[in-house]
Amino acid sequence: MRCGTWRTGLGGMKAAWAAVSIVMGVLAVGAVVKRNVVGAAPEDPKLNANESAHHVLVRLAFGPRPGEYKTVAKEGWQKWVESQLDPASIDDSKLDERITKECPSVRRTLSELEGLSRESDRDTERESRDRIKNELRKAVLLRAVHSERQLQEVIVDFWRNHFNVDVNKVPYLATHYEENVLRTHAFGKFDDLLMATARHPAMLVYLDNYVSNRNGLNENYARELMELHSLGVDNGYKQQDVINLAKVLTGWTCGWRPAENASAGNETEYKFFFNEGAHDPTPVTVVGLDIGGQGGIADGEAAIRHLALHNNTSRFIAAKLCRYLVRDNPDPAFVERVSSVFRKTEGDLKAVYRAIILDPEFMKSSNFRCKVRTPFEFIVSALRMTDARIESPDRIFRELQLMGQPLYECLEPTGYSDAQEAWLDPGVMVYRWNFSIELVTGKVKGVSGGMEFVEPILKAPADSRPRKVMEMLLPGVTDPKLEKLLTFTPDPRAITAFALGSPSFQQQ
Amino acid sequence: MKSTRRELLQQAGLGVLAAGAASQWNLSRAAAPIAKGPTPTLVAVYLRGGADTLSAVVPYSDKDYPRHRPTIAMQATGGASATAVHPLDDTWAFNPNMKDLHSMYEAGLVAPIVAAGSPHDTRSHFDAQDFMERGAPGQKNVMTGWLNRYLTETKTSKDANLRAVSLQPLLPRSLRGSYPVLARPDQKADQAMAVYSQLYLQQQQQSGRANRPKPGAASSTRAAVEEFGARTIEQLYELNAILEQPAPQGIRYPESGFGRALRDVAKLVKAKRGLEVTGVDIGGWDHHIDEGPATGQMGRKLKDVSESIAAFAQDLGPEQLKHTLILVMSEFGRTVKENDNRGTDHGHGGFMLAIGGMIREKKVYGKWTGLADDQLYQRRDVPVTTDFRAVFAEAIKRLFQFDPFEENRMFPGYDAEMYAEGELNYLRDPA
Repeated sequence: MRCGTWRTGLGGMKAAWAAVSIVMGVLAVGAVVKRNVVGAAPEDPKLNANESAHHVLVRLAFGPRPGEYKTVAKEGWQKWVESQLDPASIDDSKLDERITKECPSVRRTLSELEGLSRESDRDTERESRDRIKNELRKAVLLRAVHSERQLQEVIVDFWRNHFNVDVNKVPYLATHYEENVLRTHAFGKFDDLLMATARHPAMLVYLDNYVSNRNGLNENYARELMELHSLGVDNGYKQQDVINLAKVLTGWTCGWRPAENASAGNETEYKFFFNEGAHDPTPVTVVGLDIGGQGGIADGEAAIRHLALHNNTSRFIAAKLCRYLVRDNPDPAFVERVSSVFRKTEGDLKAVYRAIILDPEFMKSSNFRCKVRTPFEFIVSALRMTDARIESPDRIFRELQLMGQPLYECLEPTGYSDAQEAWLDPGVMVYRWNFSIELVTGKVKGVSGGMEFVEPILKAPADSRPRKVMEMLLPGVTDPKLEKLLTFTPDPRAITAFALGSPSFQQQ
Repeated sequence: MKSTRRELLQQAGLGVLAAGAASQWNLSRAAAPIAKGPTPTLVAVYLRGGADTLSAVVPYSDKDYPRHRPTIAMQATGGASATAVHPLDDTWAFNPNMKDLHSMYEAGLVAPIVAAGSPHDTRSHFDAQDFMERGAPGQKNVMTGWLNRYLTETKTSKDANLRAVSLQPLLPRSLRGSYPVLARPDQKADQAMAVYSQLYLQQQQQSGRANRPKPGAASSTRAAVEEFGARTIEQLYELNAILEQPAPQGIRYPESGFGRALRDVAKLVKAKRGLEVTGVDIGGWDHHIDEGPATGQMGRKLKDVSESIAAFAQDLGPEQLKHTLILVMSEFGRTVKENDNRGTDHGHGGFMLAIGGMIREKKVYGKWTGLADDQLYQRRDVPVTTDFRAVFAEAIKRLFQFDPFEENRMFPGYDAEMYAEGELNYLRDPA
């Protein structure tokens, strides 16, 4: 019935449709021919300067802001990368001020945050829990869209999934974890990062280690620590290692304790602590390392450092980063080069990122646009590239939920996958299409400024508008097929919606 | 909403495309039956939150039952009719709100299964749901749903577009995995599909699915995106064409989310488009406070479940019901004793309901050891005497006539021998 109404009064448009179809037929033939040529080419050429600029801005950033691409293409991508590898050197004070103002809870201490959970009135507690959760998620979103330190945001998102916690299982704690664990250590040493996650109440609660004790062993965290956080699944540990590591980590817990600097009204503080009484001191071996069983907390620390610097960990982390930044199935020799840097530098993460980005593999044309944007990457890129401003994030949270990637709410300790097959579900494409249409027509509540991109395009003559839209959304990319299709209307918003929802824009 | 979206599109100049795409589709053809014989259909209904088994399938004559539940127990006779249960046999009764399901039980269409659940001891909603919906208790490395594994194992190139569908936007975990199951978006889709169909559908049809570039290249990524976009459009046009048909007269589904979902499932089944597997979630079973099994919150939910399922059965009719199985389940049961807030906390053993025309015998299934304290699991919960995998495996075996234990890929860690030991025999083979 709905289809019937489209037809009414639009019969004259059939000719336009037919014309588009014919053009497409021609283009499809061309595409097949081109594909065969590529398939036959033995060498894997490097990307040209324009493509390289595009590549770094979609892989090491969530897409370029208007104008950013031109700068990078002109000055060379290496310069941009060097500055991004040193996030602290990039001024982001405007955003920081905004976050302090609009998401004040991200600056709070653990005790201040966890204290809110002690509210005895259920409604009040629920309200503050929702507020804290949404301030955290807003901060994540604002930083991804508006931060100048784009590589940092891309990398923090990687660790956010690698060391996943679900905000609904650890409300309040997740906020402190994001700020003081993930963001603090993302460009530091891997063993410090791993240790910081192990000692944080958010992880201890999320994976149940806080209740594990000598009389009731909970293996959950010990298993994930090896399987997901360090060695990789079935990669050099056995069930006995899981049990042994769980024993070593008994007593690693959290709660309210007497404050170190107690003052009136602040006699206690919420924190990580080692509970000697719950600890199992039996001497054990964890993945080849003998743990003496006398050192209390030192035993656990030794086990974690051992895992952090294990050869299998270097390969697992290197491979996962290469998948995230380069391609779903990275070349094993490339992974090996990166993991050797991990080992040589004892897990210096900045050196590892540099090794990936500066490796010849990174700029190979076969890696160009071979990944699919996750829902998060799709939405953030669309907002950045159309120069949108987020005023209120609720609608974006909802979109991410609809697309299957609700922010900070991944139930599984694996975090969200960034592989193609995880996101290509039938049905989900509808949300990307609707979002594309609504974004360019100003219907996404809480997002403003996205219309400004229309002005410069409108100034251009009608027949060069598709080119302008391509330069905005797919700068440096040659896609004559799409560009031709964009000529169906002179309306810049329609052209933009069409391009945002196209297969081309789902690639990066 | 509808016209707003259309105006919006036309305002944006996209109406041109919408017009073109509509003429591509002949909706009456899209809704015509394709299945020749009857297709067996499994409807997995998940009560999220841990439904209180003792308030649904009530051990009304157990002497310990009123002692454990001084304020929320229900009676067989006496008292107001609102709190009088519907006896199934000398031990068991359905909740007062499950009158319709009780009639269906009398007609031999319902198999209540008691003390069913997971051999794993978790009382976490998330872990318990994962373990159950993945059919792999305690195995965190199994990431796919048990129903998706069935679909994957039996996949052919001729699978119907609508072989597996979720009418809710979030796929139940039992349906997640490598087999592409359509999750119906909860946004209007036709206009967007019309706009983008030329970028996805036609292009993809023209380049041809067989002629695939080598994996990992940009062109292959693009082909994959095109394929999924195209599949979305094909499936949704077909689905929407069916769901837009008017509901049958004279069948009264409750005006609830679950009622509407089953009404839509019935339309799909009756359209004979090859629907084999679908899942429906009902949330809100975590009754720690004021459980209200008779006239309160849980009572209202059970009434909805009972009346919706009865309407569904009536809608399908006896012939179709012979090939349809509804499995109702929850992640765990709740504590045997009520707590200080007239509610119950997370427990262990629960109940399941199997409903359809293939139920073997009119009886309550599952081994029951009573509610004496020393019979309880950890002295607090209903024990598990039937592994939920026994129920799942029998459904796969008898409804779909597929051996789930061949190569043991359906239920890792659970083999034919374990199944044989605990086989319930609640289903007949199809006529």
